[in-house]
Amino acid sequence: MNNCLFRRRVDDYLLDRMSADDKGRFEEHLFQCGRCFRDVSEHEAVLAAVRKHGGRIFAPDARTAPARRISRRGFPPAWAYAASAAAVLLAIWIGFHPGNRDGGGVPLTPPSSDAIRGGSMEGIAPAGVLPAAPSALEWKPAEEGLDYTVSLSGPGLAWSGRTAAGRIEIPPDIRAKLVPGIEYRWKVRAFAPQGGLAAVSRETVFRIAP
Amino acid sequence: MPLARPDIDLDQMAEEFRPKIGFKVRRQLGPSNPDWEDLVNEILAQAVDKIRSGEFRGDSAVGTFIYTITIRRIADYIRHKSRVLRHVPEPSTPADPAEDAEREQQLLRLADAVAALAPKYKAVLELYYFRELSREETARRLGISPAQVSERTHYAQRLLRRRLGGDFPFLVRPGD
Repeated sequence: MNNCLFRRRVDDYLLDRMSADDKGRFEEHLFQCGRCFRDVSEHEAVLAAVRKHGGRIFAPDARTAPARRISRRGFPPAWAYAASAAAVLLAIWIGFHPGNRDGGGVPLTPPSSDAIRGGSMEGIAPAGVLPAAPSALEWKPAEEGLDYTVSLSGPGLAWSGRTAAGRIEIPPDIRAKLVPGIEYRWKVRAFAPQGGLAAVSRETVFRIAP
Repeated sequence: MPLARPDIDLDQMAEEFRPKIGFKVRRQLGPSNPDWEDLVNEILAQAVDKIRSGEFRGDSAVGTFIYTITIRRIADYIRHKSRVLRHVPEPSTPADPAEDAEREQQLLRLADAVAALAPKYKAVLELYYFRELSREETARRLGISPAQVSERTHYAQRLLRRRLGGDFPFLVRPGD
């Protein structure tokens, strides 16, 4: 059991929810604490698997897998039919009850693919190789009334900003840090007014020509 | 003339810090950067030289000393790379298909194990890792405390390690 105080920050580190200073302190700690390093390595692997295959893992047919196992053993008992009927009714109620559409319990609507979590959204620009440092990030908004959190990262650079529009200016000090030839990635997350995650874009990659 | 620290076993040090340096380098430069292994070797060699020459006097922990060397070397690499790339475009390096296939297999097996977890652990991983909700929002939706969100992710990790340990070298470390 790892009782180290840094242990509770493992996910904050991996999910980029730390200030640059805290991140530095945490990484320095990893060089001294084998248990926290092991935790980070393991959580990182699970995070990678969930990010890549979450669409399948958390899909509704994955949730009903035990029911398929019952039918493989032969004729299902009467209680299995009753349980299935109850599950269907519950699913219908969850789907149509207004209180469950946003923020009420575990969301049961699966994302449409492995790569895009939540709803889908597209990054428009910048992408690919650019002649100069971009001044803004632009995407196709998912729907009206959402707040967008945009994150831009690369070696030695991590920035995020919020907006209600489909475009955000890159601050001049961040723009100045973009180095030609280095790959940068950006991603947009859309949040509903109540704070629930509504859509996530794929990562868009760009590089400034040397 | 400073003396080398006799209490540091350099072989053991290299074994302990190689994965940590590799982790930091890959995270900083991106996992597909072809130079990462060379950079790790350079950092380790630099650390060993400094310890042998007595430059490391033990004023800080060995981990802090090696971490400092690591971040300085990464910064040098990025500076050098950006200077070089201004003049000569770098050809793109193809990924190693065997390594990619192995990694993909590992992720698939891990994903299957996650899918087989009890619903209460899966629900936390879905909201907190997959949908990337905050810890507080995840807790609110599941009717548990934020501390329990962390506890459940850690416990899910233990279950996965127990189930997959033998199949997942990157999940098993010495001393487990």
